[in-house]
Amino acid sequence: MKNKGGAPLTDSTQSGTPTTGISTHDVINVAGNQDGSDIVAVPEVPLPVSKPEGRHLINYDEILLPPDGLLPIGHIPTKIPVGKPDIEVYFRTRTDPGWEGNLPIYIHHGASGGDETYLVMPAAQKYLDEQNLLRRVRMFTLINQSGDLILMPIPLPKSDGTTNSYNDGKLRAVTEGRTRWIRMVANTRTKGYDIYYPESKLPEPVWPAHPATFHDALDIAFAGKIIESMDHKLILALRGII
Amino acid sequence: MDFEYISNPGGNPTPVCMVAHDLISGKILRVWLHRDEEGEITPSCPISVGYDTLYLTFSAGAEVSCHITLGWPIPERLVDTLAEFRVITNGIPGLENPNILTACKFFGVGTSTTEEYKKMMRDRILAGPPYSAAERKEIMDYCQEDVRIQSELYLKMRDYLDGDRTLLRGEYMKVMTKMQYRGIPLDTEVLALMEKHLETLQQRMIHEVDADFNCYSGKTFKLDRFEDYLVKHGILTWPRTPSGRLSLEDGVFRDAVLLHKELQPLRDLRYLIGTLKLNSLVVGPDGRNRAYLHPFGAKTGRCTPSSAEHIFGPAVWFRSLIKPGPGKAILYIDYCQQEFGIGAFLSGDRNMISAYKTGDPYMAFAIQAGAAPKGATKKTHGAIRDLYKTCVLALQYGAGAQTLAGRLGTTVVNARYLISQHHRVYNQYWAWSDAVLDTALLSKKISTRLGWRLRVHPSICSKKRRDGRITEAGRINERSIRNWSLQSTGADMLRVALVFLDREDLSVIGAVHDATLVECDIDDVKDVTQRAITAMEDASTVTLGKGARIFAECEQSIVYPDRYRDKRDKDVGTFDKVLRILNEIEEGAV
Repeated sequence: MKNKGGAPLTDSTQSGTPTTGISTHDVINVAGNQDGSDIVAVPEVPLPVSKPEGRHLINYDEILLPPDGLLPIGHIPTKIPVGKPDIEVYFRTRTDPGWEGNLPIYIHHGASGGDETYLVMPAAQKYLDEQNLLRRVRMFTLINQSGDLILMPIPLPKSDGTTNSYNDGKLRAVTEGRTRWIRMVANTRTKGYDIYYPESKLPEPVWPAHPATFHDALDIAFAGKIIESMDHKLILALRGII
Repeated sequence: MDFEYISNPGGNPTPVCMVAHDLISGKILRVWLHRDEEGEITPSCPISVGYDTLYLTFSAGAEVSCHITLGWPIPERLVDTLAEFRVITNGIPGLENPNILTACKFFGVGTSTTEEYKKMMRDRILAGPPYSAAERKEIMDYCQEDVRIQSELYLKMRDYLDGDRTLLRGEYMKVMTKMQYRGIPLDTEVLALMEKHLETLQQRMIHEVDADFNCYSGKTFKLDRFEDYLVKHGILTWPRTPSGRLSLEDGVFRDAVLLHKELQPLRDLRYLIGTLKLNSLVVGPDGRNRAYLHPFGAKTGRCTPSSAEHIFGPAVWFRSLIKPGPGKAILYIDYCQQEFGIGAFLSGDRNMISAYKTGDPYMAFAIQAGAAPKGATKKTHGAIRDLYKTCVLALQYGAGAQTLAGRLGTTVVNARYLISQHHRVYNQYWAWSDAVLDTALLSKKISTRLGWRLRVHPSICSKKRRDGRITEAGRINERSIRNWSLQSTGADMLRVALVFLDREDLSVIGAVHDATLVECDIDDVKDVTQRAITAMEDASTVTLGKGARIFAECEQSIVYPDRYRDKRDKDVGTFDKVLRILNEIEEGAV
C-alpha cells in the first residue's frame, strides 16, 4: 500500500486546554508497540463509568428556543382599507378608545367610479370645508374574521347637531360590534342598516400585534393619501390649475 | 474518537481498530481490536465514557455500533460533529451530503487525506483480514489522522454548538444507532420465495392485475394503452412531461390514487416490475433489515434512507414482509394528525388548537367553517369530513387551488372557496405562517425551537417538478418554506420521542415519518403500548412547549404470527395477491 505520510507531530501545549498538538510521547499503543506490530496483553479492568447523582444530562424544561426570537419579523399589513365592511363580512369593533378618533377626510370620486378617501391636513381643510367637500368623521377600527383590519369612517353630526339615518345606523352597528360579531346591510326602505348576527358562536377576535397603535394604522391606511397642502394635485385639480 | 471497522451488509460492524484523542491532556490512545485467532480476548473499553467525558465523533453511528458490538458502555455525553455540521450548514447548496473532508474544507481544517486515499483505505479494511503488520500500522495511522482532523474540526465548530440541543442530537444518534443495530424483523421465507420466483411472480401479477388496465405488453408498460385507459375512465387531467407525454413518476401516481383509488394496483404492479430490486434490500443473516438510515439527511432534518435498501420504501404492500419472530410483537405507534397539531400549537391559533383537541380536527374544521352542524361526526357527515380533510392535508403540503381541485375532482373556484374558509377560520395560523415566510425571506434563515436550522438560499429552494421541469433558479419556493417549520418540528419531535422511548428501556426498531416501531414480548404488549404512547406524547410537549400535546396511538399491534399490514394495502390486497401466487408457484399450480 502507498505510504501516505501522516500529519507532522508537534509538542503538546498547556494542559487543561483542548489542543490538537500531539507529542510522540503522548501516543499510547494498546495491544501493540509503537508501530502496532505486536500484540500485548491488555488490562481487563474497565475504567469506571461515572454516573451522575441526581444530575440530568439535558434540562428538557429549558431546552426550547423562545418563540419570539425565532420570528423577529412579525407580519405587518401593508394595506388597511378605509370604508364600510362588505355586506357578507362579519366584523368586530375595537373597544379600546385609543383606537378611534375624529378626523377630517376628503372623498375623491375617481373617474373610473372608485372612491378614494384622503386625510386632510389643516393647510387644506378650510378650502375644502368652504366647498362642503370636507367630511369630519369619527374613524373606528374594525376587524374581520380573517384578522384583517378595516378603518370605518362615520360622519360626525353637523354643527347644528343633525345626522342622517344611515349614519345613525352605522353608529348603531359599530356600537353593537364592540360586543358581538355582526354584519351590516343597507336597507333602502328604512334608510338605515340591518344588522345580522352569526348563527354559531364565533371565537373572540385576536387583534394583531401590528400595527401597534391607531396612528400606525392610519399611516398604513392613508399611505400616499394625505392632502398636506394647497399644492396637492387633487386641490390643484379642484382649483382648475391642472 | 474514531473506529475503523468492517461493514457486514445487513449485519453489524466488526471493529478493526480505534483511536482516541484526549483533547485536554493531548494523549492519543491506539487500540487494535480485530482478533485473528479464536479465544483472543477483546479489550474492555479503555477510555472513560461517563458523564464527565464529552465523547466527540463525526457520524456517531459507526462509533456507537462498535461500542455495542464490543460490549462497551455507550458514551453518556456524545456530540456528533456531523449532525452539528448539518445544523450549521443546512440549506447551503452542495453541502447536503457532507463527509469529513467536506466539513474540513468548510472550516479550513488542513489534511493531506484525499477522497481517493480514503476510498483505498476503506476498501482494504473492508476486504478483511489477515492484515499484515505494515497494513495494521497504516490502518492505525489512517485512523489517527481521522481523529486529528476531527479534533481540529471540533475546535473550529465548538463556538457554534448549541448546549443541551446539541447533546439532544447526540442522544438521538445513540438511540438511532441502537435502533439500526437491532434491525426490523422480516419474513425471510416469503422474501426467499420472492427472490426464487421473481420472474414468474412478475408475469403472473401482470396477467392478473393488468387484466383491469391492459397497459402492459409483456413486461413493458405502454403509454398509449395507458392513455386509452385514462380516457375510457374519464381521467382527463393527468400531468404530462414537457414533451407532452404522460408523466409516469411515482409521485404522480401517488397523487392520482388519492382521487382514483382503483389505480393503486397498477401503481403497485409498476413498482414490482420496474422498481423493486430485492437484492438491494439490506437483510442481515438474522433476517433483519438494517438499512443505513442517513440521519439528518433531509433539509427538514428527517432521515433519508435509501428506498431500495429500507423496508419502508415507497411500495406499501412490500412492508407486509415485516413480521415479528416467535413470542414477539411489534407495535406501530404514531402521532395523530401530527402536522395539524404542530401548526396549531406553534401558531397558537385558538381555533386550530380547539379543533385538534377534539380528536378529529377535520370534522372540527368542517363544523368551524359552517359546513357541518355542531355534533356532526365521521359517521353522520363522512363525505363533508373527507372534503375538509383533503383540504387540510393539501394545504399542509402547500398545495394551491389547482392541485386541491384536482384532488377533489372539483372546480378551481370551489377549491378556492375551501381554501378561503381555512384562512378565515385559522387566521392566526396564517398570520404565523406569513411571519415564518417573512422571517425566512428577509433574514435568510429560520430555525425550529429545538435548534434545527435552515439557511434560505434561492437556488436550493427551487425543485424539480413532477413534470420534469425545474422551477426557476433564483426563485424561493414559498410553499417549501412555509412547510419547512411544520415538517422540521415534526422531525424534532420524533427525535425526542426516540430518546424518551429509549429512556423507558423500550426496544425501538424503526421510525417512519411520524411513527415508531417498538418490539416487545407478547406478554408485555399492553404495558409497552401505554409506556410508548406516554413517552411520545411527553416528547411532543417538550418539542412544542408547556400546554401543548400531540396525541399518539397504537395503530397496529402485530403479534406473531401476524405480519404488518399498511392500511393503504388492506383494501387493495396486493401483498395477499403476491403471497397467493408465490404459494401457487411453490405448490406447482402454475
